[in-house]
Amino acid sequence: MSKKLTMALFALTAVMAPAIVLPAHAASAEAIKMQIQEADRLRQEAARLGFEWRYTQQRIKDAEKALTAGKLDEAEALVARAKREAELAIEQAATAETVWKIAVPK
Amino acid sequence: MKALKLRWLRRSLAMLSVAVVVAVPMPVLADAETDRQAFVNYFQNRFPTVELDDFANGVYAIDAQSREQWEAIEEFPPYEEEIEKGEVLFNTPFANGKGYSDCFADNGAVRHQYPFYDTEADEVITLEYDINRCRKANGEKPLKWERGDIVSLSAYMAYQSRGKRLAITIPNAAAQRAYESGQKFYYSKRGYLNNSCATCHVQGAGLRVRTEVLHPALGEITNWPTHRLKWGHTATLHKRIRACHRDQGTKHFKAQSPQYREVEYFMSYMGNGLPVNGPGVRK
Repeated sequence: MSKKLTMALFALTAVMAPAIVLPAHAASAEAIKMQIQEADRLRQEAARLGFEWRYTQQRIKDAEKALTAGKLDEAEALVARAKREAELAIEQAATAETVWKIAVPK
Repeated sequence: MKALKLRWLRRSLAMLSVAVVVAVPMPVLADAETDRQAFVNYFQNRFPTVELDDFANGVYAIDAQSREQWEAIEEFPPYEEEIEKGEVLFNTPFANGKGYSDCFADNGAVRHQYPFYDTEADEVITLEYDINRCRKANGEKPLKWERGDIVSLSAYMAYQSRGKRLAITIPNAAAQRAYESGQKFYYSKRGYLNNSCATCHVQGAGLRVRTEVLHPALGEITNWPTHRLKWGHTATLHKRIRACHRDQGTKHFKAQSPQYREVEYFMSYMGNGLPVNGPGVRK
């Protein structure tokens, strides 16, 4: 292996190392904060419809705590789950609106 | 001339459309009595050997083994103390000299008439809700909803009403809307388990969840307040609804919230004609 190639590989490894060793944050703290706001907006909508799920609010609170503690990965995972739960609850309300009568004995 | 004809045509079409709207009947509100008859038929077809009145005994009407245990427990019922305490409370005057008998006729034997729709307040009034209305009207502090004195009073009044048949009425269109709202709530799937009340107690009645047999929805209202062996105490229907709701993965509503009062209204209407047998014992 030529000396130049060895140096190039070394330089490349040095540049890439942090990306390999440290976990990559897909989002910044600011972006996660906005995701939390969005998840809470959706949760409130699910609550307004009367279909909020049991742990969604707690997950949002936990995401806020994780964010404050600088645990961005944890905060991001929690808020993603809370947001999905709120979306599903809203979807569930829309489905119930159209299908609940099917279950009524005729 | 052409403009005049056009105007005449427009006016005629408008009048015709009004006539069509008047001639076509407006969508009729769901007929609660038709619902109830279909509900009763459904359970009688599902459990043909069960006498209609026996549905008031919940799961014990359909599960012989559980019934045997229940009958043994009923020999020394764990809710007895609540009835005795309730009698004392019922007959203890308020600070203003009045008492519960000024609010509730027939020495409190009125359980079969609850819930009812108060046409002036425009809301569903459950027995426990009315106990607190009575207290507030007489300058007393309201009681907590799920346990304690309200359960004792409710147990005593249910006991006084034993054998009387549920007679729930729907007096006007607003009451009909409350009934429908309760009905919709009962049949709507909620929470991360995606279950409705009906999933377990209409479609699932008689099936097992682990070792437990699911009780039929018909008659599930007559025995409240109830001593649950799992809880180790007697509590109100709203505690049971709230806990069930929560167990299905839903953010539950508060006891005596409009949602739970309306669902109780629907459930009770479905039980019309069945005898009050509260307070009861359930697993």
